[in-house]
Amino acid sequence: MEKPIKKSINGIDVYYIKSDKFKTITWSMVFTHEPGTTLINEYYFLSNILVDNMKKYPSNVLKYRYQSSLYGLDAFGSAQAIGNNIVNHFIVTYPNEIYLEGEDDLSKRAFIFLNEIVANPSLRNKKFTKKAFKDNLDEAKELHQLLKSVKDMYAYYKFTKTYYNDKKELQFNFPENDTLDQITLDTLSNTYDDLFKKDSVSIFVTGDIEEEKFDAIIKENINPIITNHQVNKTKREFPYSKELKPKIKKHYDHDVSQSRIFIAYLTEAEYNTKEHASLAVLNNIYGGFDQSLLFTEVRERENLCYYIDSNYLPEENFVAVACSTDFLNEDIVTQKIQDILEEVKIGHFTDELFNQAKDNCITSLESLADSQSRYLLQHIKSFHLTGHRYNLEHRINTYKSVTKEDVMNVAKSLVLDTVYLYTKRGDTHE
Amino acid sequence: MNKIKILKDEFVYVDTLKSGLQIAIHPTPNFKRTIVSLQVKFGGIDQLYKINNQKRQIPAGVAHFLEHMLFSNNGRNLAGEFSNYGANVNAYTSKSITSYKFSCIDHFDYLLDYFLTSFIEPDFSNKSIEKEKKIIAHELNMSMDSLHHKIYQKLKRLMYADKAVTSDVGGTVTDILDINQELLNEVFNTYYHPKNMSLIISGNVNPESVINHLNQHPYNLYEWPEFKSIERISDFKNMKTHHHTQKVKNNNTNMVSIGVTVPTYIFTKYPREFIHISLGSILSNAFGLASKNFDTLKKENLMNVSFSCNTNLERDYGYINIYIQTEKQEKYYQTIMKMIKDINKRSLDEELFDIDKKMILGNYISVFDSLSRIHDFIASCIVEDINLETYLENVMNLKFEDLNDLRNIFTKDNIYSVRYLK
Repeated sequence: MEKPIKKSINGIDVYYIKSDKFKTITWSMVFTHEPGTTLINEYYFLSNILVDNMKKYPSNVLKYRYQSSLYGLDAFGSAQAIGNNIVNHFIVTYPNEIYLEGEDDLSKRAFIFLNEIVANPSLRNKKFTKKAFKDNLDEAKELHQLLKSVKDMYAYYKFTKTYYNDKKELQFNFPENDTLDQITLDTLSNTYDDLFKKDSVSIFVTGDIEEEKFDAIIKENINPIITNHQVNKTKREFPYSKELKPKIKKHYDHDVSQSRIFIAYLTEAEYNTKEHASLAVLNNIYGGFDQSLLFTEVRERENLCYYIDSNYLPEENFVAVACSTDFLNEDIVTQKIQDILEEVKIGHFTDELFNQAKDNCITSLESLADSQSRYLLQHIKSFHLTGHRYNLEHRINTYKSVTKEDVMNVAKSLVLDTVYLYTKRGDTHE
Repeated sequence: MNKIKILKDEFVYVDTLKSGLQIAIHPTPNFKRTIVSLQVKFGGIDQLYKINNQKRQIPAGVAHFLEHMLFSNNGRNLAGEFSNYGANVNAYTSKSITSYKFSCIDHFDYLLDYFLTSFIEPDFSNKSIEKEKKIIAHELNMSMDSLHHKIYQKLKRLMYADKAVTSDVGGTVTDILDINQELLNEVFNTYYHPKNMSLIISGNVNPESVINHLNQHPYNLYEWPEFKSIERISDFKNMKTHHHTQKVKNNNTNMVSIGVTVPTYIFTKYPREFIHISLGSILSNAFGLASKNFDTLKKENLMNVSFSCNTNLERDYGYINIYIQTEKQEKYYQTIMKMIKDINKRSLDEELFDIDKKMILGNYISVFDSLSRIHDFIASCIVEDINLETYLENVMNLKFEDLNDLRNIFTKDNIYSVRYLK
């Protein structure tokens, strides 16, 4: 994959990421909002309501038939946090016209469709219709019901609520169920207006493309309402202290057959730094793959569970362990998870495991270039957080430079933040 | 070696080694990763079979248990060795097959050798069998918490009488107690013969040198005993009770799961790809995003994100599963049942049928962007004996009237439902 080419077209930053190994083209229009979570549900709703309420295609039949005629063009919206800012992506993906006969203007039609999604929704008196708003609200509530019906998902959701209990402004849930009733037709419609009055906008195009052709498509077809504004882009600052008192919570459910255990350790590493790389290697040693200490000790040697793993989520600033085990073993397993980390801190892991863990990280990074969407997302994040392109080669070299001492040091820097158990009997209590 | 064109610039090379192992290689020189999978035609359904005219009954869950055991046979640690080379290996068992898959960036030749060697003369220790029983028991217990799993199992038990069809791929905790070394060796010798397996490779490889390499591999040179054909015995008789509704304690939502069985004659009458393509086309026409039914369900607020409509085609049987969680279960149920029965009674939408072909072509091209998706597609075609060369052509040449016979399966005789109410 080639390095991204950055241009300014009609005042909008346009990034081309060219690659002849992919057979599809993706347009991504990215709106970055002012920092904060106040309008989190409005942004989440926008990602759905704009895709589902196009003025030009007022029914699913008309819209999806048009998309099918564009060779199954896939269109979707999403909202996510990058740093402290919420970002709305509107994305269309379709097969490259070079694989289709007589379809030279497919990219142009796809871009026009993307513009229709963003800039031409079905409105009444400059507001979304009451039905569209209600449908979205109902869907968000149904999503929550769905979440409740899947025990593993619900247990994880409740765990994150506990983790963020003392970091309320830092949790980005899409949607945020606790405040769903605060969103109104007015707040939603006003937030939509802000896309064009306040937000920063950029366009990313990936695939086997010719710059000149795409320059012309953008210049000639971008809706003039879409304009770029300066937005303050900030990082999420997590409260980190060695003196932190861990939150310990048990949630009881009468109807579960196994305990779900979640343990979160707070980190202080910044995105794309050497510490970030060291934490990723540490995570693999601890519980990130099938040779990790948690997997080999708790599952393979002690046979205490079927699944146990750890995940490092740099955006959430934690390394979290998840495990499902018999109720009778929950205290033993909870203790073992913590004991094993203590072993890592003092370097009680083999060189073989260290090398496997590091190689596993490097392989995962190298294979990033095999996925157009993952590679694109890394660039979007990197431009947002650092102002620079994502430098894959540099990241790989950083991982290669991680030593055993680096791993021990970041292990020592972890602070126990949350111990959460979703288990059987009794009533929920702190 | 036979070279098959599957798109303008994409080819698959197929061959059969002396041992009988079928090979399919899809070179993708621009991709970093290489994916290899070994497909074994032995799955959860294979519990009763005839070999040498002798009937043999084995407990549920043996194929899945064997899959776990092959990661540590002969005292080897398959996953550990792959990790030493920055690679990873995994496996799954379905009703029809067991599939082992590894992916790597470097050391391809060595890893391929190591991988294949695991499938010659395995030696399972009693200690590791007992250890695996405990781990699998945890795995089976985990699914007990899932109402989605329970309603799906209940639907299967309504649709089919044979426990081999309805049982969980992993069996039950009681089933796996009966598994021992002797049984594992017996089923390995029955099913893990190269003539009952295929090897699929996608990635940055040279087909000719891979074939040369495989020809010299001990797996291929091994003196395999003669492959005895296996007569699988299953009973796909349908059940008399078609519909079941019950209240479920501590359930916070209504769940509606509908099944439509594909009669067994369909599997003998039509080529496999025709069934796939035609059923896909009918369902897209009936419940796809661009269908009138989908629009109606959406407008009447009977559609939500939990809705799914999937076709499950196993070796000799298959069914369609339509699922939703909804507050408006009664209205949804009446509406969707009528829509399902109408597939047979009313004409489908010919305009949509034609537009769908463009979508299918686009989706087919898009699959090549993901190495694992294209790998899985090729693997399923090889296992199901689908002609890769003519697949796309067959989709494009399908005529509207070709759907008529398959539309006839949507009658009350083949429709089943389970409702779990809160």
